[in-house]
Amino acid sequence: MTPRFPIAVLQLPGVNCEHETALALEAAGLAAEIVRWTRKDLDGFAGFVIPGGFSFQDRVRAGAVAAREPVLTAVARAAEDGRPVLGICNGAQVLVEAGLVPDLDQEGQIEMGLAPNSIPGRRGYYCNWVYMTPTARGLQSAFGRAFAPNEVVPVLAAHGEGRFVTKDPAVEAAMRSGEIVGFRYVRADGGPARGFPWNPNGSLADAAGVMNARGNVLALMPHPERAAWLRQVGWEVDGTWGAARRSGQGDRAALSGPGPGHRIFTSIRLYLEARAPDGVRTGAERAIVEPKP
Amino acid sequence: MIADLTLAVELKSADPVALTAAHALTHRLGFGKVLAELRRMDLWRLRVEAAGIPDALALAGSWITGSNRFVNPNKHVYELSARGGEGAGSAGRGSGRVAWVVATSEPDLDGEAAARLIRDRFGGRELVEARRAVAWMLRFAPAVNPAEVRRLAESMAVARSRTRGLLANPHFQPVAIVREPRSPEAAIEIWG
Repeated sequence: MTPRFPIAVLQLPGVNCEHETALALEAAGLAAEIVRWTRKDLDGFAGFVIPGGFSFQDRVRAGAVAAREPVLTAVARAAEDGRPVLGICNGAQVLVEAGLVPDLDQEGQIEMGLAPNSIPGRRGYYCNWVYMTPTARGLQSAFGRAFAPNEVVPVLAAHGEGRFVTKDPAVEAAMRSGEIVGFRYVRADGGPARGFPWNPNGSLADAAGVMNARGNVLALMPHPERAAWLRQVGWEVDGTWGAARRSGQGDRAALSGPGPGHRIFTSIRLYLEARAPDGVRTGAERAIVEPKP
Repeated sequence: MIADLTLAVELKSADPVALTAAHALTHRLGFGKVLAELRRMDLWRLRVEAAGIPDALALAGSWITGSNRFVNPNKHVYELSARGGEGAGSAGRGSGRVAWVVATSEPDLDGEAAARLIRDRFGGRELVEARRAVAWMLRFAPAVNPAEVRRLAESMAVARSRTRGLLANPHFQPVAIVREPRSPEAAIEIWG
């Protein structure tokens, strides 16, 4: 398959997941290019991914300084165009601090925060497998098309500030109703998380990923790129993915197959193919437009 | 009695967080002509049950130096003082162009964790409460009208969008702004 859609993986100073994220995008049939945050000509990209890490060393507040960088104007323009924009972990923090998620007022106001994890009896960074499932809105979004309804996927949480919070009643209602939550934390059997460790940070409405209302921008705290191949799935993971990982031991072909996180990146490709069947090549500036009614 | 103590902790050397925040405020958010200096410090409020203020200060001092939780002596300087002194929190007689922004966190997980540590490691049942805040000192340029200081400090402090505000996200970091307190520690009076 020849990749048709160029995706910019934004290399902000301090991120550390750009290469594995680019590999995961390419494995899903997308043309990933790692671009530095100072680059200007970004309008030719079919979508953006802001990867995980510690942009600007998390100074002031995770994602806060990066969100004020001029490059976010290009990302905001892509979001407005309907192009897919995915922020993973620190990238999610940047999108929230930039007001691109959830952006219910569509004026770029900061409508929520990613607060420090709230974990009974401890604080700080938490790193472990968690389980998430797409919501009904998530399935329709740019990031859920490759998922089955109620499918439970293991992914890795690795963050200190992953608790989605808001003081805006309209945003809280939209989160609780599932209108803007793309992925929720659940138990390994798909049941409601109901607290730690299934919800690893105390996030409102068990939100693992929050979207804009249009569903083309997603702030996702867990790392799908760390579960993009079956070989990356932990031996200890529950459910069908864990069973597949264990039974694939010693089988290189099986372990080189797609993992649960692959679905996020495949979903982006499916979304782009639905929007622009002929694809977009680098340099074809802003060729992706909304389909005419 | 319960003594109300304030611990103010600041870096000995240049503070990279404050430098980065100042750069973002002046180069990204348009405050280049009004912001002259930005400093940052950690503020802790420690409420300690003791026979008197000297005992409370001595007890808290032993926790501070013995735990490494509040202060790393390699890189920090600190002051521990009793709150409620005369004039604390009231306006001073400076230039009128200094404001302190004190940002807390909801819930105060750092304060809770510090209290847990003191009780677990030191058996510190005398500690009634520990709370943490981050204080930002904003000094404005001479050209700034002192009457504008509070409004400018608020617009720098409260993050409203990617082009407005930076220092605190209002969805979990409530802020209070004090103009010209007599001491940095006095800014903590806004905790009430």
